[in-house]
Amino acid sequence: MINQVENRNVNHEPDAGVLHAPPPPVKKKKKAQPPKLPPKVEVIAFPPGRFHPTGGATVKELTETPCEEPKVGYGTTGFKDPAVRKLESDIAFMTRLLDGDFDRLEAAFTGWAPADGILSMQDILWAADSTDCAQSGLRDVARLIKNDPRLFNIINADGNIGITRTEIQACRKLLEDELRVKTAGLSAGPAPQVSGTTPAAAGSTAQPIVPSVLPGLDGAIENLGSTINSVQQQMSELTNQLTGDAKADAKIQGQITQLNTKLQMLLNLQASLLTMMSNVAKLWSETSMNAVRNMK
Amino acid sequence: MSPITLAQQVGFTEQDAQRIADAGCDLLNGGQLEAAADVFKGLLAINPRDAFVHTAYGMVLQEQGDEAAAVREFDSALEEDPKMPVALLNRGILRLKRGNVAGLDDLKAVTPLKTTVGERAREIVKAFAQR
Repeated sequence: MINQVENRNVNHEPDAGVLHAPPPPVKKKKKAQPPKLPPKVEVIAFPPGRFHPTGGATVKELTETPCEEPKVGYGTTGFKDPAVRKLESDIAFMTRLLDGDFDRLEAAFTGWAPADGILSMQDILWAADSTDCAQSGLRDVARLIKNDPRLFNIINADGNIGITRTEIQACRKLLEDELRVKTAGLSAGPAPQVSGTTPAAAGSTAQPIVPSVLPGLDGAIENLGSTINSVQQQMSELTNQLTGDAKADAKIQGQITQLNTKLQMLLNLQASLLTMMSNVAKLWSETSMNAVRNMK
Repeated sequence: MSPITLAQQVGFTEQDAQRIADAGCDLLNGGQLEAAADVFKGLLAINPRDAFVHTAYGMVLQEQGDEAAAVREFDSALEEDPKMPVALLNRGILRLKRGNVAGLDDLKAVTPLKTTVGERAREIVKAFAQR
């Protein structure tokens, strides 16, 4: 019994209401600088059920909300401007015409004499819809001119019936200039090709095409472009050194031939690289479309 | 001088891209996020300057829970088109969720729009102001 009482009295916790001795005074320390904490990040909870689960827009909103992106053509959105594609196709058409089909076309014009003796817009409109003109290629030219009054002015400027080679060349130049303006501001434009030559071989100042994707190929094409430029420069310097003296010129001519072979090789390589990039794009496009089809 | 894109090189027009992007949006809508991501990544390889596709890809990433990457895509979209409404809305929300009050500026830029996107932005801005 006594033991129990003693045990009860041996209480390690202080009894309530009993005063205890105050703790020993603590030496005042120098006021510590509060540690610099990162700014408090406040996480904002969005009320559940009020918004889309991601908290963002829905796909419907994405596709239906009008975009304010400026659509000013080539180089702005990064896509090929359909107007540029048409210009390229028209230029290619005129080039084909000048290279091969022009004689046939000229013959067609010669045999086709409007009553008033002047190639009027009416005549062009007639030719554009005429099946008689389809075979000669006249209909295609007429359609092109019909849709572009500037071309009509060039063709009609001399008041003569028919279209001359010079007029077609003038039309092509006009379109090429327009293409150059439309593609200005890009590191490399799709320079219109003169038939049978490459832009580089034709002495054009077109830069190598540098796509912003496929970084490995980017560099390769860029290097190739500068090598091509350097070879062309060497060839040009050598050509200037030709004196007319057959003996001395023979050596220079040999060097020019060698450089020309090298140039052709480089141009072929450049074309292969560009084809490779096109193929990658096509392959990707086909693959993704197949994936979409399979899922459907 | 801006570099030429593969789309310009191979003659890929906006209409061509739109058809593929629509398929990507259908996949996203159907919850097939991986497939949708593949489509959008491919489109961005062809044209890295397409604000719409950056936004759509950002939405896929957001659905996948990769919010930091989603914000980067919305940043890219807004670099190309600073007024892209959905990119502004989503980036604004993600920024606010992370405690970045710059998100409010994104949302405020969309509030004048008379669309559901504008309406949602107004609601959030209002809710934020009442806190």
